[in-house]
Amino acid sequence: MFQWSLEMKEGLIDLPAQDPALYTWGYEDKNGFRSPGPPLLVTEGEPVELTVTNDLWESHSFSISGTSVNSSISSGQTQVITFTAPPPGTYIYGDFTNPLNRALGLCGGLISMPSGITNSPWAGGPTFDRQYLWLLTSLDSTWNRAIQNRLPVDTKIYRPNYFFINGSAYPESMMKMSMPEMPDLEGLMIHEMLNSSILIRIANAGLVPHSVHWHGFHVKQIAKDRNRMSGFLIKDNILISPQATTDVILTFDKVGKYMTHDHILMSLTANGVYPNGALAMFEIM
Amino acid sequence: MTLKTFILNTNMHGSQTMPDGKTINIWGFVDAGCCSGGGGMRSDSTGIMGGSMSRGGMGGGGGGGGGMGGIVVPNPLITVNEGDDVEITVNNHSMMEHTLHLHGLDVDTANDGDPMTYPAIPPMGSYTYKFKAANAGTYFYHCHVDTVLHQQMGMYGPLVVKAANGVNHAWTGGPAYDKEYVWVLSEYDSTWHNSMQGSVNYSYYNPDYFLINGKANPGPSADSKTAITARKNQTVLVRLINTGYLVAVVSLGGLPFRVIASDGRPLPSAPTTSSQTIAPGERYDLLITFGSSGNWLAEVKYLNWFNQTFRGKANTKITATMS
Repeated sequence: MFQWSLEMKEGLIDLPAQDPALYTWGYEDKNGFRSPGPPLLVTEGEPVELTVTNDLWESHSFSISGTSVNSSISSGQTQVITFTAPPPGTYIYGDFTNPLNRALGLCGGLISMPSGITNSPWAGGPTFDRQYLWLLTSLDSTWNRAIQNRLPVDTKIYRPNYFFINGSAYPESMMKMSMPEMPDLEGLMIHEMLNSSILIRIANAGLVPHSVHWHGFHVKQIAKDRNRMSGFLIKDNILISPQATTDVILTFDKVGKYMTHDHILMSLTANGVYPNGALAMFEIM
Repeated sequence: MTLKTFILNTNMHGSQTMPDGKTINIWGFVDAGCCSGGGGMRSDSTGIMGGSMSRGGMGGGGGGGGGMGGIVVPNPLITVNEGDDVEITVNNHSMMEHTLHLHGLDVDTANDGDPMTYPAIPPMGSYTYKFKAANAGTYFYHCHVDTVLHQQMGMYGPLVVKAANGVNHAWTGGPAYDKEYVWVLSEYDSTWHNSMQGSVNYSYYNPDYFLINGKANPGPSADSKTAITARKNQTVLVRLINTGYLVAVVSLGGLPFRVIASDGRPLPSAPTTSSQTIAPGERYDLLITFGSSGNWLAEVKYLNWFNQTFRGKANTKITATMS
């Protein structure tokens, strides 16, 4: 059984470049407050029990894309949501009732692994040495400040000015290190071995599309929104729309240091300052 | 082993006059072998200094308001063959750092042109990027210093790897074609181009010109490198490259086509379609077989980043004659 407690609440996040800490929403679990929320890792078929508390002042929902999990939780209430872990794949959880919720950080990633298998995304699927989750989000700081002051937000106008992978932006994201002997699912400064293969689960929990480009290598795109592709695509640049997920296998056939980043280049800024934002780095030895 | 070499100079003093009369500043890589009118090295598949570089997208030297400095956007088309060893020397004739990133060519760190992993070319310095063109297909090059600005300013150009020995097949052993076109898709935000660097917030992109091969509507573009002309029963390959910052949707006025490759690799299946979405950085190769004569109006629609609503478009003509 997988059990976890999450509390939806207000909080602050440190912003890169110029701003002081910014008001936001997110989830608090036993490890602290995070915006967006922490990754949840389950195994297909196992019972899951999520205890979700709503510490915000209006109703919010907890849903998991592509599943029937969809609970509305009133302000001040706690709900125990029970379900069976879904089929293997990459999912997004959060409050999808209004784009404002995800923009403020009420979203996160959920990975369902195949039963009894730790090195492939599904039984009989391509194998990997390590896997990573890249949750893509952005924020428009005018939305955060409006909500902080309980002012209305026109959700037809969204001009994001900060961009994140797993809630982190360059250069601070380079401190989220992953090494083969100590892998981090959310790593962004990723050290890997020559001839290793990794699985990258990319989940766009935000409000705008991203166009992910890998320097140095092509990847094998193996699944889109949990649909296994009958013919894998070999790509160096993949479009991922809001609320979509995709899985790719990357095999390192040479050593060196290589960047992966959104080619919608505004994503590499923080309130106009470059370089920043949504990029990851591989160092292959 | 065939070695093909190219020399590019950086140039930050160009301008382009748009159809509405507005002049915008542009930067670019220029072919060091030419300045005005023609130029560029001629193709020679056996020689060493034999690479082919041509002014893709803008017909003739200096036409269409190329203006000062000889910069044309997109920058010159570089063509090599699968299996060639390629060396591109960049002379940085400017007071800013620049690099050349070979997008999609899977080169190693020393040749990747990414200042975060290898030093950039200093002002007045030079660097030679080397790689083996291992996979026939469609790629591009661009500066990767302060990329959000430098790429927008015009420092990008197409790079085509033809099938082995330069035969007109989409890849070695792939479908044959009679003619090919390169369509570089991008936009201009004239405020970014005409403002002091750093005075603009580069998180906010508001393009006001929408281009095919550097040309904006009112179209349709009659530029010989863009407008497609063919004969009935001919097969035409169109190489789409998105060097802009918006998702674009390409349609050929109802003319069906097959999407046969992307990012320099054949696609596992190539269904017939009438519309292809292409995101910044992506490439798609379209194969058109003209079963009849006719005229079609092709359209590239650029979509807003949020909500993917229509923002702007560029058009060109497709004409197939009986003979």
